[in-house]
Amino acid sequence: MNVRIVLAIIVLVVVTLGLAAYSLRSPTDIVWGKRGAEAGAVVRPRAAVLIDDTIYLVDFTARIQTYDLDGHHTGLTFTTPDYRNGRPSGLGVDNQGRLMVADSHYHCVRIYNADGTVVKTLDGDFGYVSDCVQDDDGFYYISEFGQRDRITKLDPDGKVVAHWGESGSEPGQLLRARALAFGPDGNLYVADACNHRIQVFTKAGQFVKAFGSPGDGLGELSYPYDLAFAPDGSLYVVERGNCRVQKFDRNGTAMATWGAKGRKTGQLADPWAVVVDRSGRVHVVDTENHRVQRVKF
Amino acid sequence: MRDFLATHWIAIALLAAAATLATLPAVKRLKSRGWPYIASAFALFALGGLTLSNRSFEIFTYRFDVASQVLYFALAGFALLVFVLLFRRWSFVAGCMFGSLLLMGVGGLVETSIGAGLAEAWRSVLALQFVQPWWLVLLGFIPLVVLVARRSLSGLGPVRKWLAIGARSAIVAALAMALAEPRFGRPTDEVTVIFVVDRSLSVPQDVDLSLPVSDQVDRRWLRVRNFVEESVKQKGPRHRNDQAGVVFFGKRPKLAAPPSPAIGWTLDPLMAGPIDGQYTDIASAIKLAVASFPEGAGRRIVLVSDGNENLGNADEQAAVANQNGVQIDAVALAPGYRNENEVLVQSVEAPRQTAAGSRLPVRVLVRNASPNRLVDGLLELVRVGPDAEGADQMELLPIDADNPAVLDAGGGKKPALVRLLPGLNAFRFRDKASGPKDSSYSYRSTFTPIKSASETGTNIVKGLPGDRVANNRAGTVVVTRSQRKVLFIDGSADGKFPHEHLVRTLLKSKIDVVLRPVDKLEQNIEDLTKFLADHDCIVLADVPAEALSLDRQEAIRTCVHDQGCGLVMIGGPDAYGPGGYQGTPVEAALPVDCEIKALKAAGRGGLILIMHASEMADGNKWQKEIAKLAIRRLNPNDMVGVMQYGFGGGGVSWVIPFQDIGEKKQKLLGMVDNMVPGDMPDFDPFLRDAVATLTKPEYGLSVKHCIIISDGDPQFGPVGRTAVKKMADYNVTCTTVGVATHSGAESSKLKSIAQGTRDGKGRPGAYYEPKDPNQLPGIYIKESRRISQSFIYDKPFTPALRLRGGPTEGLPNTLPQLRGFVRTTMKESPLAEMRIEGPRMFDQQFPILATWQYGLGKAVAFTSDARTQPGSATSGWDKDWVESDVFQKFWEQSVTWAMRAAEKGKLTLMTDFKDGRVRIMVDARDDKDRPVGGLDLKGGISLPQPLKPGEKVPVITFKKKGAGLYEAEFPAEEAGSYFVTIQGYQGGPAGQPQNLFDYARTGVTVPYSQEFADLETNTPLMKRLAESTGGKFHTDDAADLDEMVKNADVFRDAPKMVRAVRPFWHWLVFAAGLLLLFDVGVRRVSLEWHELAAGLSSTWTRLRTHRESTSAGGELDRLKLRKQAVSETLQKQRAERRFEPGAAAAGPAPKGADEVISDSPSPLKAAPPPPREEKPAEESDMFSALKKAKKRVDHNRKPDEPR
Repeated sequence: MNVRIVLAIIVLVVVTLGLAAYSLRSPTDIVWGKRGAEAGAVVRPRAAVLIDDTIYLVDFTARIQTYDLDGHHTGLTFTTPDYRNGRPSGLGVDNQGRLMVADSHYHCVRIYNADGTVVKTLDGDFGYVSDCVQDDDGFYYISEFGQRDRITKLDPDGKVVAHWGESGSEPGQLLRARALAFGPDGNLYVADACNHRIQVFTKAGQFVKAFGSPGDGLGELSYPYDLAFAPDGSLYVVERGNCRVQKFDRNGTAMATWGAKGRKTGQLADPWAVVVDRSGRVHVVDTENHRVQRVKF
Repeated sequence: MRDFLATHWIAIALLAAAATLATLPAVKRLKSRGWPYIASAFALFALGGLTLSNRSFEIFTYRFDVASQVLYFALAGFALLVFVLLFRRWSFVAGCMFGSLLLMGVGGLVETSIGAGLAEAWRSVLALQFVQPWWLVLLGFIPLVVLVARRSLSGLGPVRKWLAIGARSAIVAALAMALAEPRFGRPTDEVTVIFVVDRSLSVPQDVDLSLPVSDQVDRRWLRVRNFVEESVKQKGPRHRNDQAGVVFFGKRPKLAAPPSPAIGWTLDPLMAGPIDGQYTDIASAIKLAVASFPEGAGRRIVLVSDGNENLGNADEQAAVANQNGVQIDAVALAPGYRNENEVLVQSVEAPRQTAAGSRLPVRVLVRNASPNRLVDGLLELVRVGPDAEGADQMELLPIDADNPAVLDAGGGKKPALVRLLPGLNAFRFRDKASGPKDSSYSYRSTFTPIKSASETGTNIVKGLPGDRVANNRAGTVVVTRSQRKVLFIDGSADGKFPHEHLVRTLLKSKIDVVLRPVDKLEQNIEDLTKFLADHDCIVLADVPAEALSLDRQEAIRTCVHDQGCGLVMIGGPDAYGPGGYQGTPVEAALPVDCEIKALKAAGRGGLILIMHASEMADGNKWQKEIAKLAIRRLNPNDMVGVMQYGFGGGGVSWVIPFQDIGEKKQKLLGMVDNMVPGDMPDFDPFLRDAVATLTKPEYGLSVKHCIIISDGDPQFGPVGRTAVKKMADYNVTCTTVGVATHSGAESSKLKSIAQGTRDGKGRPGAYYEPKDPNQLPGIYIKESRRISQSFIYDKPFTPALRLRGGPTEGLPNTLPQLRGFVRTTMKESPLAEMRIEGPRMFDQQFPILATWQYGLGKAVAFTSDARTQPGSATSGWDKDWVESDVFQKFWEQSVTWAMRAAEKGKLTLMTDFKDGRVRIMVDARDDKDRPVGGLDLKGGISLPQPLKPGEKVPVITFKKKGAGLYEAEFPAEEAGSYFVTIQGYQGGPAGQPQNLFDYARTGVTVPYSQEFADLETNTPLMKRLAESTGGKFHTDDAADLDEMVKNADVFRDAPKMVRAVRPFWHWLVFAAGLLLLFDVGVRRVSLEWHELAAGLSSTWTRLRTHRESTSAGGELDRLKLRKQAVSETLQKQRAERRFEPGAAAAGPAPKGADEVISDSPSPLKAAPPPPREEKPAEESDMFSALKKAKKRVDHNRKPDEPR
């Protein structure tokens, strides 16, 4: 009889855990986003950044909106001052936790307060600005394409310190740098989209290494458009061309991929951006499906 | 509270039912053990619904839905219970607990949905309507069916009998209802509100002028925006299903937000793209809103406007809206507003028509809208007309300085300084005696305010704040009498004219020819219309369609159709089909169509279009249009493919895989509609794939071409460069079109791609950078023209004269040879006549010369060319004609035939523009100045702007007003010059054609849109619109708007609407068929319920004893041991019995699971007890017990199991 009760309890625990696991079924645990013009809804979201557990999204209507990690709109909706030439295509966070908007078609980076007011604008001789990051010493790194394919380093006052990169496919050259991120090693990782690779530079602009080659196999990339590091140091790269997210370890070795072309849950249509939260969950901006999918893998 | 009841009515109903069920047995003294359970189940379900619906909680960062978690937990509990059951353990308390949780979980999940679903279903049933209700009489047969069936089916037993009767009655009912054509239509209290917001320029701004200009905002717009946003946001839960949408309008309406129940609006003026605010068309905005309402809800338009409509008729449209059950609430902007700081140049008055060389007095009327202020400013009048070379010249005219209001005449060198008194001010100007001789020309007058002051000269203000610039200028057109001039539009641009010989020949024939290269034609449509109006015949000599934008072609077409001008088109490699005239306005004016049927021709072309998503306004629409144009222009034996950036698969996606066009043109055009180009990161893979496809040897393409349309933003990397080099090596050309490129870098990138490629003759691809999307089609036509090769016939042939008269009058029967022509198809019209025919192919006829009457004008199509220049190396298809007499005679006759007849001055036109309408008065007098009655007057109008799709040129119908006086009217809502041509015909003898009495032309100028003429808002119209549709009238007063928002006034109940849902009679017929089967089944198949119940019961029992049976082997061993033990005991007892009779029996066996269960009442119906092991109560029974146990084991063992 005791054995039966123990067995029964085991079954209870297993079933409950199973159901709980089902309710948190992996890897896609939440899909959110609704297409529309009203506040909270999005139209072709194209860039994202995570600031203090708040996801900032910018979409094709140039609206920047905030969401919690479950995709609930947290109220903020604003646009860049003008977007008739084109919409911003990159978001970043500065080291004071403020939003940086790469206003691509206006050739500048705008830094915003939490209420959506502009604090500072970084402009200069830029082509299409695709992304901006700031290091712990306050230096800004801005990637651009169009007229030139290069990365510009600015001091905290916005003065140019260095440029590196030029159009081409050789190591150190770039073809549409779409996104930047600092790795756990302190180096700058660049999504070199049209060369289908990730390039790594030191903060001084020295080429360190590159990984990825065109293709759809593991370790191969097709139009990597955004990248983000997880707290454990692994790197997630979103690939527009392959409609998937690829995970790399600290050494650039491909670990896994998630996603496929399509419209269903777990499938992606032209994903443009990715962020990783502090629990290591990956939020993928599924652009042409007008939504965000949250996965853990 | 009301919302709570609406949401949870089912929970409340269930609670009430539970209470009733709980008390009923006590009251009625009924005995039923099930009722308390049912009552508690109802109560728990309801409780779950009330407490758990839409609640969630969060653990760490995970959010859980309470109801589903409770359900999961309950399910887990039940899983456990099932397990326990199989172990023959049962806990009543746990069962109750988990059962309750299960019920609550389910209640929490589905209670509200069930409530809503039931409510909806009930509403639908209530709204059932029958189209032909008299068929329901057939329901009367049901009692008959019942009566007959009761007797005939009495052998079936009560249940089956009534089932069969029920089925038959249902069949009759279903068929009767199907015949009555039922439909669902239900009244609804939901409301859809569409805010129709005026964005036209007449809406006066409400700005704080004391602020610096950069800080000035239009407070009126902010109020409107806030009103719309807040109305939607604060509509309240009662209106949560009510939908709201937005239409913005000016000249045309645009649906900025389709109706939706969403509440988080931000009203952005850019939502709908640019709005042309030069006009206000309330009517079409209402029309669009009415068309945008979804089915099945009340409809209300909230019209936010100043009411100053100047296009369309809002009253008419409001009546239509009212008929459609749409109510209009009007929010009048700036009611009672009158702009007093306004100066309008009201009109420029000059004689409408003049004989050449006469001197003209010109009067300019300027209105100062202020009742008490003087305005000083500069007034100028310029004459715009062609100089001796035909180029437009502007000349400043001197003002008549006699007027005291002229402060400084300016001496004819600069504009005059004048002072405007309140009201209308007239100024005279003198035109010079040496005015234009024989061309139409126009006057333009502009007033620029400098300062304004009160009548006493105090309170001086710089400029005139609030004055609108658009109405500070006006103009008029003066049309000269016909000079019998021919406009010869030639194709060349580099200083040489390919048709010079023909022009000289015409001049020799005393025809006044104005030669104009096509690229020197007036760009401005209004100027072009005026310029064309000066000529009596237009010759288009081998000019490609792309050289004339569609607007300019339309100007030519209307000049022929509505002004009676002649049109002659001369062929060549750039005319007709190869010139890209398919489907153009010029083609419409010609007696031939440029399209030809499929012909097998030498050389086939391949075209690949590469499309990049465009960020320009309407970019994707344009891309589709262009791709379709290109495909339409290709021949059936050509090949085409369309590529775009599509997601997945590395980006390259073929919208149209590369293929023969064949007979699939329509299908291919349909495929273009599915095109959704993505944002292309780089050109490289596209160039690589395009060159690889075009150079495949199996296609055997003689012309290989691709076109890229892009903003130049994608990368052009090493792979792309390799592809471009390969293109040059394999004679593939690539043309690039830069649309809305953002910088020179992008342009040069696109240019370098085009120029890197080479065709067979070493020519590079072209690069275009159109500034206007209207130029795109022209580019694509030209480009696709590179591909198609089968229009041109370039072998010598003898043309055949088919019809004599007009152009072919007096020509020899045998015409000289021609060396080529362009294939065209005769129009299928009785007016179109083929006068000379070319060589046939497969019985297909191709005209060389065709003519017809088109509207008021005549058109001639000559499909061979006139490019031969005698004495030079240039030789065209008409070399033999040039050398014969035919040439001069033919061309002189053709042009003269087409040319407009000379004006005799017998018709005098007077025009008058008032309230958006032009009135034309015609005075007809004969040679002796006697009025002429009984004229048949036909009129044509050339509009200032090309017609938009769906628009029609107003028809002029004359009414007789007196002896020789006729009058007609037409609406002239758009600003610009209208050219009016009137032809008078005199009736010939009966059955004879009418004779042309005379014709006359004039121009009427509407200086600016009525939008800028209105000084006041039209509040009465807004009031009228609201009243005529039963809506409310409001103003844009902040308090009024706030009140509306607070009361959710715009979402108040609307006139009831009926929803019409699709008829469903076919489902009833289907149901009748199924019931028929059921009826047969019930009668033929007899189900024995008790057998079924017994079967189920035994299955349940077997399930629960499963464990025993599967462990039969072990049991046997146990029994054997037991048997041994028992026999030992027996022997011992037998031995003992001899000494101790009446010893105690052995103790009972341990309780089994069933006994535990039977101890506690279960909510489940107790199963029949499983066969029990007999208790070895008496030693004397031991053997029989063993026997029975063994027997049972044997019985449970399957026959083939080894013993």
